[in-house]
Amino acid sequence: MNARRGFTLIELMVGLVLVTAVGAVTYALLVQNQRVARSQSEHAGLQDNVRTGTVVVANELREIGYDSIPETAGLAAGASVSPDLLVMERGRLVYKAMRGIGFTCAVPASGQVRLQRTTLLGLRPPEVGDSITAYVEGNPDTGADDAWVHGVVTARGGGICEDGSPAVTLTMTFVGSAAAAAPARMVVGGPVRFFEVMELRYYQSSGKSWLGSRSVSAGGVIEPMLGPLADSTASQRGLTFVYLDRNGVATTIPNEVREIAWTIKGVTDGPVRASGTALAVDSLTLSTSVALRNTLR
Amino acid sequence: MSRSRRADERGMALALAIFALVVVGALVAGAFLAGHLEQRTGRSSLYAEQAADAAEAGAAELLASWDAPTLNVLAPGSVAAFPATPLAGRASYRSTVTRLNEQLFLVQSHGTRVDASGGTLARRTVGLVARLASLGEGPEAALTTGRPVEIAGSEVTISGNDSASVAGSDCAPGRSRPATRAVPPSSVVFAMFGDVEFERLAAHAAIVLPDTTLTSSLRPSLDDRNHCDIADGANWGEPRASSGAALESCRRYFPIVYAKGPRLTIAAGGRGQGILLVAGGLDITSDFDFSGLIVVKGGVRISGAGSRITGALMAANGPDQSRTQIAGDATVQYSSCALRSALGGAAFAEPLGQRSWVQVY
Repeated sequence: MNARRGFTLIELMVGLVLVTAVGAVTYALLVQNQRVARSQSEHAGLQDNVRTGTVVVANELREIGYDSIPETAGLAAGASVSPDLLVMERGRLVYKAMRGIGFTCAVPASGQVRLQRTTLLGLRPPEVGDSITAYVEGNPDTGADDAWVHGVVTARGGGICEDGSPAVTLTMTFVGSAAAAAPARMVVGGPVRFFEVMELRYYQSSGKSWLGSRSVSAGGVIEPMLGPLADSTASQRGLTFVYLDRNGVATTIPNEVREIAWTIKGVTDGPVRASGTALAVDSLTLSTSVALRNTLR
Repeated sequence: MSRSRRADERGMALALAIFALVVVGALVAGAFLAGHLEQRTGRSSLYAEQAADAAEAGAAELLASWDAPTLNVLAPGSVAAFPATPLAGRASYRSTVTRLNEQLFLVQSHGTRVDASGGTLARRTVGLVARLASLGEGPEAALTTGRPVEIAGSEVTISGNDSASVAGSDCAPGRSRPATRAVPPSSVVFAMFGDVEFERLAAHAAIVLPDTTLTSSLRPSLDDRNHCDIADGANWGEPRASSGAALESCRRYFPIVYAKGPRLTIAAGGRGQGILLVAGGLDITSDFDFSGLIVVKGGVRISGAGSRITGALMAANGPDQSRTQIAGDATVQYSSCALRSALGGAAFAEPLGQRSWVQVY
């Protein structure tokens, strides 16, 4: 019968205290584990976000350049420089984003240019609404009078090259002072670049800050490309573009820009708490730059 | 009975220890995962940069060492592919050149970064649109000098009759030019050749000579694969058709030779073609048969027997007011065909002055 006796009150209380203590420790461990896991996940996301955004922005900007029609081209007296950088602000950049290049495979006629399909290079084929810049030849015995002239694609279709290979036929309207003379100066094998005007800018939406992009050519709306970013206040900026000339000095003249540097301050999507610190939004700042490859002369 | 009861008195120590280990393990694994992800992201960026750098290096190297004998004769629309070239750090590049028309080329360079087992870690491709530099048509006389020429002997021939044809070329000779032409030593005709300055032409020289006397005869040579041996500094191409089919590949080789010292002496004669640039003075003391363009910043002395220059000779007589003296039975024969072959064959490509770089995805 002695073996059947129950717990005493003391035993029960000691047991309850022990179970409570173990439970409390376990709960604390679980909560801490959850915080750390969330913090790690947020940090990984933040790092991935900032780095990926940096690579994407660099790819967008690397091919930027400018062109000018030399006086020797005889196309237009005093033709102005055509830079790809259209708006240069600290938190906003509007530029001609190169989307590809093709090579003419037939003599241009009636405002139409045929590009060999197999030699199209770039992000995508040309589209209606794209701006183009086409290489025109002057005297073939010298490169000093060669130039790039500008136009807009108004229609696109198929076609055949002079050698029988498939072509993309672009109907285009040339613009600027060289428009009248340009078609006659285009040569078979000459490059034609096509691009769209894009905008990159810092903006706020749903209470958060972002680096957004939009196609100005297509009349698109701003969409987040990278973020969330830190808010821009007196003491910090979520995004800063700096435009540098050949000497590494900041400039505001588009065709003098040789390098674009930018600093991104990304933040975690929500507040996180590292061990022993208060709950707060964490941040990561990354600075990088890209040399504009088509500004070299 | 008491033995059985003791066995039932199991505690929670093991379960708690395992639980604690699991919790700690999860924390460590989480930290490790985050660190590992960060490391992989960093490495991927590094590999991508290495591949991109390799691609850039390939494009730059291809243009710097432009394979004129192969590429300058490429038909429009044709593609020349070059083998992969390894770089340090398990990166490599492979280039292709597409001729777009008579003047333009598309250079594509594919950079790759591989791991220890050869697996590809990253690939990048860049393109360059390049234009064949125009070197013009050459001077308007057989002999152009900055000071009066001294001719010794009655067997010297300086002729502006454009009658010479070129081996392996269907070029038709054109109108005759003056035998000699005097211009100021500082004239641009000694400094600019088409779109290219003397210094830029010299920078693209396949053969660079110091202040030297060439005591070995210049002659075409073949490498182990029976290709024209462009690594041989005594091989200045083959100007003669009579040498047979074996040296055919050297007939397409028109090197730019740059003598950068104060004096170049060709003492053992021989033969060659292309463009010879001399920063100082030039002495030719024995039979030297050359087809193409010779440009000398200083003076020229030709003596001995059998020397023949087909194309054009230019002597600025500049730096030291040195004279140009031609003696023996030397011949300077104007030839538009020889000039066209040499200037076209030696031409190199350069990126377009504007918008040459192409991002290839």
